[in-house]
Amino acid sequence: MQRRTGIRPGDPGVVHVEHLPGRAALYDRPAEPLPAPLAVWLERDGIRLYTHQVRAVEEVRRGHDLVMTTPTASGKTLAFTLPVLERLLADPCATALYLYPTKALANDQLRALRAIETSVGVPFEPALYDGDTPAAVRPGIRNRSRIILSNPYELHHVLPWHAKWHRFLSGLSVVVVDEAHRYRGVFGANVALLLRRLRRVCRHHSGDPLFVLSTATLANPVEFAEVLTGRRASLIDESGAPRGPHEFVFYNPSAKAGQSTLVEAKRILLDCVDQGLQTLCFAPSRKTAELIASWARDDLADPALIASYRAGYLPAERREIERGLKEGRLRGVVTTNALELGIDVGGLDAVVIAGYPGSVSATWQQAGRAGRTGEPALAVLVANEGPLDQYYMRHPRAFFARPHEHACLDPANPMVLAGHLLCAAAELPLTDADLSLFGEGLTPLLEPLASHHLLRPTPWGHVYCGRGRAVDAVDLAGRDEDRFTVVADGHLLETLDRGQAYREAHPGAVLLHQGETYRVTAMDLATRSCTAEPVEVDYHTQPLFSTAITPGTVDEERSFGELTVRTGEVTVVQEFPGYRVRRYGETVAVLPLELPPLSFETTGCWWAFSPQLATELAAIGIDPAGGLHGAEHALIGCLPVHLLCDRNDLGGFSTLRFSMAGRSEDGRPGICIYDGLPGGAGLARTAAALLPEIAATALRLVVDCPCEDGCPSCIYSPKCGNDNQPLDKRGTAAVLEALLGAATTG
Amino acid sequence: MDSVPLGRVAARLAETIDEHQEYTVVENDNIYRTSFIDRHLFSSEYGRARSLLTELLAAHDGADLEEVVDGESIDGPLGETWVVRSSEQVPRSSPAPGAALERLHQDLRLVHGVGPALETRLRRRGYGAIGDLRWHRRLAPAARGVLDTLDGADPTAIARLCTERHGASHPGVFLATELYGEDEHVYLDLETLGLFSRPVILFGIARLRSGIVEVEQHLVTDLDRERGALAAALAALGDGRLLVSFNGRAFDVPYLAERAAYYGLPHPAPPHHLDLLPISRRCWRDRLSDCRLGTIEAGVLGHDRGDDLPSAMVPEFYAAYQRTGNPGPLLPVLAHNREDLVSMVRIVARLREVCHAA
Repeated sequence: MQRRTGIRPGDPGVVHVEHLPGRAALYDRPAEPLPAPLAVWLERDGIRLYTHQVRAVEEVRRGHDLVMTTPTASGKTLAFTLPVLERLLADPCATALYLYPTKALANDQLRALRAIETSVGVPFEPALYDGDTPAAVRPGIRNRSRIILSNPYELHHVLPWHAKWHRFLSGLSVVVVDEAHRYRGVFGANVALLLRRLRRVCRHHSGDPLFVLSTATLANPVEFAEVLTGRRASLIDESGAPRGPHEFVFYNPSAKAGQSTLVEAKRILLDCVDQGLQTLCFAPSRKTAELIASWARDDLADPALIASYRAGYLPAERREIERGLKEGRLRGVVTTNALELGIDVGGLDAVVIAGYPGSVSATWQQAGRAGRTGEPALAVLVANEGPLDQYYMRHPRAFFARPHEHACLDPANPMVLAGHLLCAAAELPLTDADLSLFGEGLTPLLEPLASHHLLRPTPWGHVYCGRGRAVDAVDLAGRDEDRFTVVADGHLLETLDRGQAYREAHPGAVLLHQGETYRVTAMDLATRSCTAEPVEVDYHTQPLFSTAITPGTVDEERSFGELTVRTGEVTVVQEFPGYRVRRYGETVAVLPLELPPLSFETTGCWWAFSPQLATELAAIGIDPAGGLHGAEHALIGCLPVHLLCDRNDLGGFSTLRFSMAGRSEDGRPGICIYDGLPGGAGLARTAAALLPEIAATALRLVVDCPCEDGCPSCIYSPKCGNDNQPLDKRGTAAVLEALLGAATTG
Repeated sequence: MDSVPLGRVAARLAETIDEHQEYTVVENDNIYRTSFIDRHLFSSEYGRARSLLTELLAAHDGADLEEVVDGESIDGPLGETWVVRSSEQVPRSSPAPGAALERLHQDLRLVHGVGPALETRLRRRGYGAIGDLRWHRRLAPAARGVLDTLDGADPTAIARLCTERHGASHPGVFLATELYGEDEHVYLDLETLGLFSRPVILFGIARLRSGIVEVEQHLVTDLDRERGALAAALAALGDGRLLVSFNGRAFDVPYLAERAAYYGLPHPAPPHHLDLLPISRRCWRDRLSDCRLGTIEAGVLGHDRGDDLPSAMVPEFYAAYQRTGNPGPLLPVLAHNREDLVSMVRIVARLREVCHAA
């Protein structure tokens, strides 16, 4: 029988087809039987345990922390809930905390846990405790529930009240951290310190919980778990869940001229629907989701076959879509990644992904929506012109090979640590016993915090004595206090950090917000507020900025022949002399700006080349500055292949001559990559460690790109403050080869 | 990473925390704006307090605590603490347990199953007290339970019954506490550096002895003495059987428990607690713009404190003392706390009249 597919034979856009064979379920049994209520339930409902679920039970029985990287829909909830329930049944005082990154996820899981509770027939009273929990029911939950579901924001505000939580904390046996990969960067550093505060308060109440984490597939799950919780964890990465055969198509519109990603995605969606496949299409934004859906409906005789779905739909609207899919009336749904939350569409026949979602794991998560039990499934990734999309189109093996994305966070960032030390000191006096939790960064912060009247040394430890609440000193999401608001027609459009505001909301800037265009009419630096008005314009603006970096203390240093790699403190100073007005790719005006320079300290890594590099390149007709600049862009552009991050999380700088008086780098050509977050987020540090891999990826990205002189798929950066000038593609390759050669032979 | 400017990190945090003020100054004393803001200060109050602070710092420049604050160092359970004692005569008003019990006996609605409509019907048919329901066919079991509670003369059980049947603001909750002798009352009012999880700087405790309010204020002269003062205050509270507070259910009592837990001190279960706020609100809400203690004093007791320090400004005054070592700013904090304690005693006397007449 002919396999149904939405892909036309001989379509030149198809650059790769990966056939992933199906696999039967792998079952197992725990060495010792599960306690009666659990065993009876599983027996009665005919549930057989997959190998990874049994391993989770065994590891927790041994008292080990866990990190699980098994895919969605592999019975993950059961995998971490079985060991939790086993502990709760063994000890009537034991309790468990489930942390989710969002309220919506916690809501979803509450339903699952309540269903399990009913089946097991033992009252664990699972309950949600978050900002929406009414004050009247809070004491009951604190005093009775044995499983509480919450989120980091709520936990942050709950910890100061630990005295009221004595029952729950003293019995706390397991902390489940679901979707842990979301806790990276500054959010991750904040959550890591929050979990240390939780452990500290538990210790005070004689609780000693295990941590069970689930994450997307990562290159460094064990290391990541250890940084996040401060404890060693056992890895479970083999899933025993069954899987149907999967066909994964990489589709590159740039292989056939003149078609955009969205148009191609729409066409493939319609072809799939035409072939009778129920199809889900993922779009990068609300606006594009609506566009694809409306184009698709225009092309159909019966527009009711296609619906769009995004965050913010009412429960009734969601249920309608769910029902439409289940009953088969609805043949296609176009959605943003909002579908991850709160809607159950079951398994579909095909998934079309319009544009690389930014990480391999996010792509798999979306592709995994295709596949009914045992049935073959189709996933199509339709590429954009961006460097990551094009890299994977040309190197599909890199996508399907072992995971290579590292999740990074840096809980030693003193700017993040200091706030949590205040919170900790407000929870219990801070003593030497806390050094093991918070690390060596604790001690040097005590004196400055005391001299600003935030901590007071006493014979019982450092006591918090600030005038406001300590919890207000910390914003978990890492939005620092230095934020600008943008207001249009009296409504708050958005808030931006200072750097973003200088780049995107300066006077005269054209600002895109949810598909609407606004022009910024005023910017008040004193009140950190910008005023904007809705406009219909056919131009956009681009800030001009120059970056200078001054290195401080060096943490790590490696030399590969004439190449020096250093990691450490850098001070970044950015100046914003003006901005360009561009219409249809042409610069029509350059206007001046009056903004003070922006300066912050962060972590960076810098590579200093041999002093002769510039002359050697010039001798073969290459612009050395263009080569260094292009290499900087290519390195940053492909970092998300190796680190779980967005290219905006990092900044870059390249120069023909480092100006570092008194250092060996002085006068040498070089490239610097730094964390965009003040204080550092651990990205640049990891990038330095992964230099050979990253340089190799960047080189392949550049060499394999068919363009002549560089393009948005290789060395152009949409965020460049110098308008992508100068750039030299041949020079870029030469610089990357020099980097790679030194790094691999050294 | 010693090159990270840790001083600047700390300064940024201090700034962030200061930006989250726990009170709002209401411009032009616009009373209509106050309902939107939890803790408000009128700008005139704020201005007066700021100039008072300047005056105090000038008047007591260079002075020692002993010269300015009339207190003494005592040996507490955990070392020395500084105690300020004073007393004040108030009009005599003694608990009337007999009359209170009688009123409670007349409250038919204490019996489960009796609502307003049934109460009217019962009264029309001559049921005047709970005892009359002893032989009522349907209500007898519940009525006997209530009688047992009332006859048991355990004020905690009686107050719980009143709260369950009528809510925490019902006069019955006050009447139940009439069973305690006057010398069993202990009044509590804390001054702190914030609304939660920050040090207490003053533990104000008062007792009533033959019409005289005896005030005992444990002052935290330095934050490293908070633990000692806390232990002394807990010991001093220990012998009272009825704890009286104003908003203590939400603030003072949990605050004390939290600080005890913070320092790892045992915190004995509080004795029976009478929070005057809900009852005052029920009695006088219609007559007053808000139910702050000072407002009740002025509007109900006819007592004007004059230039009182607003509670919300206490942390600012204490911070000035910490920064300069000048004890001057402590004076209005002590005076304010003392006034609060004496006011509570007066409010109890006033509520006695109101609740017995209700």
